[in-house]
Amino acid sequence: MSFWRIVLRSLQQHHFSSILAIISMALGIALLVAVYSLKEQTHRTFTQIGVGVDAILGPKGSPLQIVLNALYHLEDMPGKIKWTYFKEVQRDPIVLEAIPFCVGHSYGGFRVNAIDPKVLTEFEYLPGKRFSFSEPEGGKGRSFRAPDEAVAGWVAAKTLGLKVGDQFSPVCGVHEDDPVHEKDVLRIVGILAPTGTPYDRALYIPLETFYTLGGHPPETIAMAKREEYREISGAYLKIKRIRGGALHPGLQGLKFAVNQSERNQLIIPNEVLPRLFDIIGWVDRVLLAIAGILTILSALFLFFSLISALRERRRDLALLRSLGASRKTVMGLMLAEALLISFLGGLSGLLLGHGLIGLGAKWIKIETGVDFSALYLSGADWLVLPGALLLGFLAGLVPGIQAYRLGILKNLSPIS
Amino acid sequence: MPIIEVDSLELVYESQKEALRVLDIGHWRVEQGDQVALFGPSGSGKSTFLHALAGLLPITKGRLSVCGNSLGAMAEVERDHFRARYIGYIFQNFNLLQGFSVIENVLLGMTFSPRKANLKEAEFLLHEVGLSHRLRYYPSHLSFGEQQRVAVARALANRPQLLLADEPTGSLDPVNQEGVLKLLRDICRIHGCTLILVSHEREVIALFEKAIPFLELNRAFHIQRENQE
Repeated sequence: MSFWRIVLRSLQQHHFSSILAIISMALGIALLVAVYSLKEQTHRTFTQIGVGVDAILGPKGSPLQIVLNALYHLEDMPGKIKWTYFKEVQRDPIVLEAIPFCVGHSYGGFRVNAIDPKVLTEFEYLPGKRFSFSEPEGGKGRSFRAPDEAVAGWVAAKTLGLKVGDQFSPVCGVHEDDPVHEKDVLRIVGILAPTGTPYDRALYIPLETFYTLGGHPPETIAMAKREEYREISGAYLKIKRIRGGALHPGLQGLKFAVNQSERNQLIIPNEVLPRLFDIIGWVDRVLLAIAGILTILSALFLFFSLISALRERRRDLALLRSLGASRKTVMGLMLAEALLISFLGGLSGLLLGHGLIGLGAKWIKIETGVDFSALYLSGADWLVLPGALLLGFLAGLVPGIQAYRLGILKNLSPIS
Repeated sequence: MPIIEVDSLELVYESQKEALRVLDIGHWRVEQGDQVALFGPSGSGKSTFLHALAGLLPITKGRLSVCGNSLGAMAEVERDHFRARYIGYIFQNFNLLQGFSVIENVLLGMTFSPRKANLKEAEFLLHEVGLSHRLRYYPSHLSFGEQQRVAVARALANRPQLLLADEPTGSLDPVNQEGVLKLLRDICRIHGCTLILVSHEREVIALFEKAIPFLELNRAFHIQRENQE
């Protein structure tokens, strides 16, 4: 009879407490795994978007607010910038691409952003990745070509049930009670294939449409015709790269020059996003602390269940000693039980944690546009099993030492 | 060649207050294949002597050689190996592991010996003790007589040279008592195993040609009584 068979038999004898110990450890670890994976994937997704846009030209105001508005369709843009100034920046030799946009409209809770059409055809939202209308990829239709045409991001279309050919009138503003441009009817001509980024959570209209929507004041309408009056919310900038793929060092000089201007600023998302993580980081920390406490409690539970099992099994262990098992062997049996329980708890926790992400991923995607994968392996995943085994070892150490010190004859008392 | 050789053996329990000598045996030897019954009143040290023979207790002084191994010179872990290899032990209260089936209890008897656990052999042993129909049963589902038969099969599982039986029939009714004793003696004969049985029951002792009053062997008992008087 093998060592592990004896261990399994012992676990079977105390299956109730063993299963409880496995479940409690699995729950703690599942939460740890899920929180850590979500944290890493969120971080990755947010910084990926930043990678797609090297810099944002925007009005003066909170840089974080501008990044959230321009890239994540959250918050409000604190002001506008002059078209002429945008053109000036666009001409800077280090600027590879400059794409103007206007925000401030919405439909069904999703932002309706006016952008240059080349965003939908040429812009790389992530290195090497362009927007697609390809049906096999989940898209449909085409990019807009006329002022009354619009394109919907994948999540926005799915949530609002929009199809190619549907019509809608945008809301002038991003709040529920803002007025609707009732006279302006825009037609959906394309649905973007999912990108797994916040770009999926908006609708897009041609830049000039922004100025000509009915109900806008005459000066806004004039912006469409006269460039010197024209204003935009901001612009996405792609900066030239130097050898090795690093951003052109002239970017800091450009940023300094833009920031010296009275109404404008240049924001580098990758400099600002860490602040966002600082702000939301406490949620991660609280969740991780809860998960950590749960895991430690489960190790304590395992410890007490092993101590209790040992009390019941003194006679069995003494019997094994009488059959020739050494002190180290009976100590090994207790440790092996603890390790097996913690291994099963760790493994179940790992699977459960990823299962939870898998279950929630669809909902999160619809709610936030962020694509989470159940198969994503975070840095914590590699530590789960060794960590669980370490906890199991620590939990089993004292019961193991007690088993080691067990006297044979003292514990072979009659049972009947 | 003797399988047990005792020479001036002493076993003393030492506590903080006093040292209690429980075994003091001058010279005694048992030949291979012998079946010996040791009898005497409770507290005479019979079980302690069996424990010493099995290497469950370290001796204090003298020489104790079992199956060619000098137990006095052995460390505890060596005595564990010795027990697993040479000794079969039957307790009064069966001492079966309740969470393990009948066949598993017998397999456990082989687990710590140098021989590998052998399912066929375990089944054969249980067949020999008349329990081939109870292989997957758990001890709690067996009668006392059946449990002691399992204990006999387990004690023989490591093919011991010496079988030690401590009041093996103490918990059995007369019918089972006779059956188990016959089985024990027959099976030891078949397996070429030396048997040392401890009992205080006259009916049991009467079955053995070599029945030794333990009080004659153990001088420590007399010293204790004298001290008490």
